[in-house]
Amino acid sequence: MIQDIALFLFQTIVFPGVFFIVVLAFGSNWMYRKFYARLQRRIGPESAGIFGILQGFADYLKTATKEDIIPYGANQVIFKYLPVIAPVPVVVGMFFIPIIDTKGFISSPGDIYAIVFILTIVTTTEIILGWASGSKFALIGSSRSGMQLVSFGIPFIFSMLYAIIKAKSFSLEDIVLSQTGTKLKFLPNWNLFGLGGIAFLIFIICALAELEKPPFDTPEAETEIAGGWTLEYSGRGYAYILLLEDLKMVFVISLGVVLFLGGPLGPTFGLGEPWIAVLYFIYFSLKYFAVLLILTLISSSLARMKIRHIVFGSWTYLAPLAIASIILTILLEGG
Amino acid sequence: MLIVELIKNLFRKPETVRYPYETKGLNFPERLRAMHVIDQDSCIGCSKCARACPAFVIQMVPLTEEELAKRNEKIKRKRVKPVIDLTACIFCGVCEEVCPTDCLNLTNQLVMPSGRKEELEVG
Amino acid sequence: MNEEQTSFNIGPQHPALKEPETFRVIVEGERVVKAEAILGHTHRGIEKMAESRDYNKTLYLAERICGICSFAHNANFARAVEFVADVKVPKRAEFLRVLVAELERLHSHLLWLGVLAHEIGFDTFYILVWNDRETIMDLLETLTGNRVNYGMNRIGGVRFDLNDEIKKIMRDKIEEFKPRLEKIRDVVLNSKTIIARTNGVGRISKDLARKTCVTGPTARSSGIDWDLRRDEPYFIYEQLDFNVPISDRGDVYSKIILRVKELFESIKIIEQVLDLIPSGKIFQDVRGRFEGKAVSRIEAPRGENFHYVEFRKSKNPYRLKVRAPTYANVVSSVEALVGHHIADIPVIVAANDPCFSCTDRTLIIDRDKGRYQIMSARDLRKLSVETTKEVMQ
Repeated sequence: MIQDIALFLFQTIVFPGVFFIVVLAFGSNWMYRKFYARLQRRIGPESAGIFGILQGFADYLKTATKEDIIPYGANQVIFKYLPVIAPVPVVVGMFFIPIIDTKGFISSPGDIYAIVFILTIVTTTEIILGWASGSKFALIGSSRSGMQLVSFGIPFIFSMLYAIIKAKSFSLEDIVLSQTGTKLKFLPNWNLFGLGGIAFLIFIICALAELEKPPFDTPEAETEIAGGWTLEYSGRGYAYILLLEDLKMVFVISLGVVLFLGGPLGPTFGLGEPWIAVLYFIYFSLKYFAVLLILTLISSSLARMKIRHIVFGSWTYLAPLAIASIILTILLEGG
Repeated sequence: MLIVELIKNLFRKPETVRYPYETKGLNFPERLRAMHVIDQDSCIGCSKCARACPAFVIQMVPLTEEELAKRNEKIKRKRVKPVIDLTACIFCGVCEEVCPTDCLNLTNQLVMPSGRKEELEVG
Repeated sequence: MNEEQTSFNIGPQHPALKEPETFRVIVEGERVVKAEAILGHTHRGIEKMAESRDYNKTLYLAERICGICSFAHNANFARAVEFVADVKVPKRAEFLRVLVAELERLHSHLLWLGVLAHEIGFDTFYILVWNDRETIMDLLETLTGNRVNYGMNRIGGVRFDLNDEIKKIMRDKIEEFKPRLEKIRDVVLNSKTIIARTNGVGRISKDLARKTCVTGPTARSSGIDWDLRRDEPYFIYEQLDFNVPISDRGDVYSKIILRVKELFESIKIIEQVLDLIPSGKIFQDVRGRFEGKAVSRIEAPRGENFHYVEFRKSKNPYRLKVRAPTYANVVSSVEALVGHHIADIPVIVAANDPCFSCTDRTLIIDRDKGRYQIMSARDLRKLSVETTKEVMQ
């Protein structure tokens, strides 16, 4: 009994729980920036910790110790307290992701529903955060964020639908298990290979939009609207927003790994119970960083798009492509 | 394609030089105009440099008793010496050009940050 | 302004603008319906300062009007004083002036390209372009001893000579720079996102360009075929063989293409200068007091640069009047803003390569009443006198 409670506490607070997720968030922040810099022949973060690996944490600490400034026109309550609870949904979402097992910490037959709900709620939080700061630039950023949600929501869900159709289930565990085995004797049976490639491409594009990384960083567009919805936040509020952005990155990339790259699956070499978890963890991290690198490569090689182009492009190319890929999947691979 | 170039960049050495920890790869040409060196033994105190300075940062300071006693035979009439305030200097090199005895020179010594103002006075 | 419209200020402090200036824009949703530029945040009184120092010192003051086209201002002032003093500048000095002017054009255009890439959110291209720009900066440093404010000119010639060693370095580096420039050109021509962001944005028609008296690459991109280097040759430009690229589209993309073409022309000019440069003196000594007035115009990287100098039997200029090219170009960019989206504002403003220097006003905004008032220099003086009186009592 006590052992169970201890395990539960350990799992919630330390390992697949909050601590691990936050560490992963800061790690991904560092990884993104380091890789982004190396693509541009810069060094990137290098002072905080070895190779600057603590840079994300250092930034968070530094911002958190700064003065909190609440603007005159802001909605006082929302401005003060919403940033604090904004990262919570993402952390909850991470509990669904299977990392050391084929099953997540929380697992239910309707995982995908919860995940889509969390993704939407995060963007909505951002819109409210921007609106509550009472600045014109922040309001423009909020409205752009909303427009991106409207234009990328449908393709995003449709790209996830591929994995759902393949697994014939809404549970992430079934989706992972449906990707066991091999294809054509040498390729792993991941959703990425074959028709799922199109869905993966759409997923990556929508992920960039969800993360507000270039070329879809219009809601924050530094040179146009000076930071968009994050503009008025300072001190602890901004620190939480930084954390939210990093956590979002962890969540979306992990989702991509689970849906298209087979999650923690990989050759097990016939190992037993405790070692298989370690192997799963290693495979998951490798895939995670691979997806992160793809994201960085795309976002570093493109210029920021205009919101008009984004809405047009999404509805004229991305959404039809997503729907077509789903129809093809149903026709060719059976639904 | 840009993307191919970017992937190549991953395996190239970064262009950044970790100045001031390393100076390899930095360009310090001979003509670089930086910190001044004044040879007070050959300076005759003509104050040409002070008059020519476009930023008005060279001041002719009277010599102290000690310095008056120490100056050598050749510059017996020297009463003042130039002192350059590097905090306002624009490093144009005009003082070096007008100096009749070549006692005032601009070196290519770039490193001169300091916390105290007195350290940024040459003279 | 009706219910659906709202106004906001871009600047004086805004990440898109590297210098303090204000653009008040009225928007409807994301569309700009009216725009207005409020200049004067960087007034430094340089023209007045020039009156209190002699021409040798003013030379270095003129250099500091602008950090990027410092040589253009410096050479322009020197040329105007040489007109007044009636001195003949040695041929070698004029070649050297052209050499530095073209190197400066290279680094200025590359800087602009990087800034524009940054404005459209293409940070990778911005970093890569600025990395290539370092080659040119190193060349300038090797020749003149400084990266930006070169101090190259003196009245009657130049201060630093070109020797065989530096000539060899220059040839090598320029040869090394060419393939990099071709890479930049390929990116500009092929990148879909650059085209999407700049093609058709901020179009300045030929009529508007004529009406607002634009100069330099802005004018040439709008179809006005005018380049002082060719049409009113100064220094030794008439001996050199180069083209003046021109476009009649007037949008930001055509300005990018035009400037990249100009980079290639500049390299052509530099190579010719290195081949043709004669030996001889590099300066003619100029002393004494002058009387008279002169106007000098040269083609700075951003457009036509104008200096008027007047001497009245003095060493100090009696009057110095400078008109920097941005002052002519900024009006056209304000006109071009109307009808575009908020996302286009930084792109259009940056497209003219703005570099703000002069005017003499300050802005008071009464927030509670929502009105604003411009204070002239006289008002400010009155205010300062009153405050001083209060303090003295």
